Formats: sequence, structure tokens, C-alpha cells
Amino acid sequence: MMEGLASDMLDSSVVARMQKKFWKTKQVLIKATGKKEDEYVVASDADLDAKLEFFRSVQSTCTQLLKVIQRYQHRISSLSQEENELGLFLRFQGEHDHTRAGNMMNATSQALCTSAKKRLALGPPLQRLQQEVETFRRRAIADTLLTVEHMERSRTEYRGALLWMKDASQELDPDTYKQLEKFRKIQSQVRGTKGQFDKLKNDVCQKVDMLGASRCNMLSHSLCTYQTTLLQFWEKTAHTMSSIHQDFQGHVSYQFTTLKALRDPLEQLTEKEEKEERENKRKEKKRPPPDLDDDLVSLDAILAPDSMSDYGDLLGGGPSLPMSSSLPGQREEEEEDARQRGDMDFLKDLLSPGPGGGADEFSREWQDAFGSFDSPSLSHAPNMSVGGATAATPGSAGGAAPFMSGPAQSPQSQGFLPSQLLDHSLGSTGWSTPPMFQAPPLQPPPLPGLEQTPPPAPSSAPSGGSKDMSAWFNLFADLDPLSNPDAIGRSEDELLKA
Amino acid sequence: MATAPYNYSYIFKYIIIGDMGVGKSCLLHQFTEKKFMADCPHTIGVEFGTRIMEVGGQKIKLQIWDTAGQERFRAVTRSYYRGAAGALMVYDITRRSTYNHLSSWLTDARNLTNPNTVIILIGNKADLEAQRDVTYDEAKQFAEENGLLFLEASAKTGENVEDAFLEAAKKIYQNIQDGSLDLNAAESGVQHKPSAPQGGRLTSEPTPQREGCGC
Repeated sequence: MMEGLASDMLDSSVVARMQKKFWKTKQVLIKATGKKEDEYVVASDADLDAKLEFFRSVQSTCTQLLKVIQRYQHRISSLSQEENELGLFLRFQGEHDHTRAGNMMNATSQALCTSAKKRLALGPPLQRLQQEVETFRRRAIADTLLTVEHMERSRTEYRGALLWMKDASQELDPDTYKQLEKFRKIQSQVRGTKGQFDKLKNDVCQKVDMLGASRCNMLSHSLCTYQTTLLQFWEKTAHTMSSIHQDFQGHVSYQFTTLKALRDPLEQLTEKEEKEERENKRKEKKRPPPDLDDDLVSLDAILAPDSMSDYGDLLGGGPSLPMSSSLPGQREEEEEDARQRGDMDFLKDLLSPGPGGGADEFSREWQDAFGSFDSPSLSHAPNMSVGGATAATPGSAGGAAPFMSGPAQSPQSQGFLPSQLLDHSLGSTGWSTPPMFQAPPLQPPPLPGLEQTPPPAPSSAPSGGSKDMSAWFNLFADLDPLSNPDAIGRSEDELLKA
Repeated sequence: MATAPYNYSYIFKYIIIGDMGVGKSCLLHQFTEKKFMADCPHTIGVEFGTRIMEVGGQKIKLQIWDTAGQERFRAVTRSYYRGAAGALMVYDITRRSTYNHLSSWLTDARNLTNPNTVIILIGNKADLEAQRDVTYDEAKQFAEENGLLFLEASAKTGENVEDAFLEAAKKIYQNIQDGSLDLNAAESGVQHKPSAPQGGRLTSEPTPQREGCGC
């Protein structure tokens, strides 16, 4: 009897455990497969589920925030680095530049370097924020997560028991002892799991509420320092930058505007010119020669309109600089001159030898650049009407000749190269070459077109001072393929007439 | 009283339904134990209670199913409506919301029981007159509109508690007499036990009488 009882009890407990397990597993399955659960059971947990959603959002936003801070820190540091490098670069360049531009560069470089340093000041507050968030995540969130998981397990058990009860309730007769017993068993299971679940539910709700509050606290704490630092940085930097801007308010803008000015007015004037003389087409055609008369270049005599136009065509550009420079109106010419003088000043500054090796380096680079530029054009343009060497002329020499002889005609299609500008201005304004580029007067005979000191094609000038230049020019003369000056002149003439 | 437990001719199944906390369990306890239970925990699923009453000279055993009012048990308790002869639909006169939910309880009761089931509306906590939130008249009107019996009762004082169960029992008995309630129907909620007090033949396995609240 006792054995029977004992075994019964044993059985019942084993059976009971199995039953419990069965229903719990069933619930797990329902949850896992996402099957629709009892709506009332779910509805009764509405407030809990809302809290859980909030918790999940706190979790994910914390993680995201950490990532963002990380990236932000990297970017600040690289930005600061770049800023600093720019500042240093400007400083270096500014040291070599004695104009207002140089001052501006110096001031800006200082501002940039300071700004770069100050930017790094954002680092510590961000670091602190990161630490706080990380701690928050590791401690507070992790702890709450544990409770949540515990609650979820208990909820599964509880719901499993409810399923069991629901099942048992289908056929229930309280007058049937066995049935009632079974029901009692289930009831106690439900009661137990429900009690546990309710308790954990409360715990979770409380913890999530506290989590939210402490997060608020933590963020407002750490963000305060960061915000203050950021505002300070912005204020200082903005102040510095705008004061620089103020100081250099009236300063003429840099290159591009200048070059544009060179170009546009000329084109404008040419267009205007064309418009005005549309009635007198013939006059327009005849213009070049009389315009050339204005030029100091004596090529006028040799140059025929045809060759001029040929030259123009050859160069592929629009109205060549000298042509357009020789304006119908004296007034316009003067304006142009004035403008060009200003431009020349700038170019002078630009090209003026700086202290130390900078200039040398610069002129070297210049020569390198323009030397290469010149030779191909010359070698490929045997028909150039500009006075100078023939096609056979070796590169540099040949290059120099047309330039020297025909500054009026020198403009290439791109009229912005300083060499051309120099040439041009020499032709029109009688501006004296800067010492660096001043060359001893070349023998005019070889280059009949020249009436003045031929402007050295700066690009092809040998490195060094004027002495080198003169030597080079001498060399140039020597290298003239048609060693006979007369021959040279003639060839030029031929060229021009081609 | 050896034969007393078995000395009944019919078994009527009652269910008590209504919102959580209106006093269903207390009503049952008052009815079966004649005591008021101040701290009654939430009913888990269902609790049972029985008592034998005399109606029309017949001894009738009332098998009362006190269902859980909590929402989560709704699906579970819906199983219990089946085969109920009588239903006590309880609300709390001091809480308007419990009165407002009556339509939903009524719908369940109508859907899940047979058409002959006697439903009686009980306005509990009548002793708390000062906090009354639902008037007698409007509840009376609601009951009349829906063909329900109506009583205001107090599980605390015991006022109208017996009457509530008795009235329902009378009505059911009347239906049997009328023939409107078919005893042979599966889910009539009435079990007819031919009275066999002598010999003590057990009509069913022994069940503890006056089970009361399973607290």
C-alpha cells in the first residue's frame, strides 16, 4: 500500500513534471512560431509590453550612440589634422609672399592652426560621454536585461500553464473527483507561475522606469560639458575668422577674377567692335593694320592683314591679344592699359623673386613649364607669321624668336600665360620688364620686328639673373638657324606672309 | 446527515461572471459559508461551491462555478459557460466601469449558454451606499430590456445573497415545469437525479460539499 502510494506519488510527480514540461514547451513553440496567442492573455500584458518596447529602444539607441561617438571622434581628429596642415601650408606660402595676400595667408594660417588645436578640445568631453554611456550600457542595461529575460522565462511558463488550464477546462466536471484533482493540480501550477510572473513583471516595470530616468540624468550630465566646449570653440573660431575677413575686406580678389577680367573685357570690346563696324565691314577688315600701327611693334610694316588673320587662325584663338588690345577707341585702350597695368603689377608680384631659393625654384619651374610649352608650338607651327626662326630652328631658340619679335602677335589661344601677358603689355604700354627678366637689348637685325628690348620669353630664360638671360639671348641669337641676320629677317618675312 | 449530501433531485449548474473585483468569490463564500471574506485573492481560473436548496418542494443541489474575472482568464473561463443552467452576472455598484462592461459579459453568456439559461443581474456592494455609482433604476431598466432578473445585494452583509441564488433556482425550476427546459438536452445545465435517498446510492463520485472558495 505504502509502496503503491509512494510509487503513485512518484509517478504523479514525474507525470506532473512531464505535463508541465509539455505545456510549457507548447507555449514556447507558439511563441517561436509567432502563432497568434490568446488575445486576452496578450492584452492583459499590454502595459508590460509597452515597457519592454521602451527598454529595447534604450538598448539599441545606446549602442548606436556609442558607435556614433566613435566615428565622430575619428572625424574630429582627422579634420583637425587637415586643418592644421592647411594652416601650415598657408603659413609657408605666406612667408614667401610679401603682398597683402601674404598677410592674409599668414593670418588665416594662424587662425586655422589655432582652430585645429581647439577642435581637439572636444575630445575629452566626448571621451567622457563615451565612457558614461558605455558604463551605462554595461551595468544598467545589462542588469535590466537580466530581469527582463527572467521575466520572459516566467511568462512562458505561466502562459504554458494557462494553456493547460484552458485545455482541461474544456471537459470539467467538479463532481468527478479525478477531474477535479487534475484541475486542482493545474490550478496550483497556474497560481504558482502567475505569482512569479506578476512579481517579475513588477520588477521589470520598475527597473525600466529607473533605467529611463538614469539615462536622462547621465546624458544631461555628460552632454553639458561637451556642449559648452563646442560652443566656445565655435564662438572663438568664428570670431577669429570673421575678423580676418573684416581686415581684408577691401582687398582685391585673387587670380581667377583677374584673369577673367583680362579675358572678358577684351572679348567684350571685340564684340563691341564688331557690332559697331558691322555697317562698315570693310573698315573692320582694315582695322587690324591701323590698329597695329598703334602698336609699338614694327611688324605692322611687314605684316599684311592676311597673314595676321592667318596667324590668328593658326593660333586657333579668337581675337589675339594684341589685336584686341589695339582698340579703335583711345579711351578703351587706356582703360585696358590701366587694367593691364594693374594686372601686370600683380604678375610682377607673382613673378618677383622671393627671398632665398624660392625665386630660383620658381623661375626654374617656370622655365621648365613654359620651355616645354613653347617648343612644341614652335616646332609645329612653321607657318607662324610672327617673326622668328623658321621651323628648323631648334626649340628654345625658335621659341624665343617669335615671342620676342612679335609680342603683338604672341598670344596663344590661351591668353593667360604670364609670358604672353608680359609680351602683350610690353607691346602696348611700354612697361619695363622687371629686372629679373630684363635682357640686354638683342640685336634687332635678326628680328626685324622688334623695336624695343625684346621681352625675354621668361619661360625659356635660363635659370639665374639677367646675366644668364643675356647669355641665353645671345645664345639664342647664335642659335638662330639663319645665322645671317638678313636671312632671318627675310625668313620672318616669309613666314609672316605665309 | 449521511444521506443529506445525496438528498437532492436535481443539480443545477450555476456560473458567476463579471469584472475582476466585483465580489463574485465573496458572494459565493457568503452563500456557502455564510461568512464574508475580506481578503480574497484573485481567482485562478475557476473555483467551485455547492449548496442544496429547496425549490418547489424539491431539493436542488447548486453546483456553482465562480469564474475568474481577470482578462487573461477570459479564454479559459469561456469554457465554463457550457452547460450552465443559471448565470449570475455581477457588477459593483460603486464602480461604473464594471456596469459598463456588462454588455460584453452578457454577449458571452448569451453566446455560450443555451437560450433557456436563466441570467440574473446582481449589483453587489449594496452596503456601500455612499459610494454608489450606478442607480438602481437604470440597472433595473437594463435588466428588463434584456430579460434578466435583477437584485442588488451585499456579500458583506448577506443582504439578498440567498435570494439571488434562490430566485434563479426558482426560475429554472419553473422552466422545467413548463417544459421549456429539456432535461434530456445535453447542455441544459440541469441534471436530474431521481431521488434515491435510501440506500444511499451514490449518484456521482463523492465531492466535498460546500467547497467554497479555494483560497
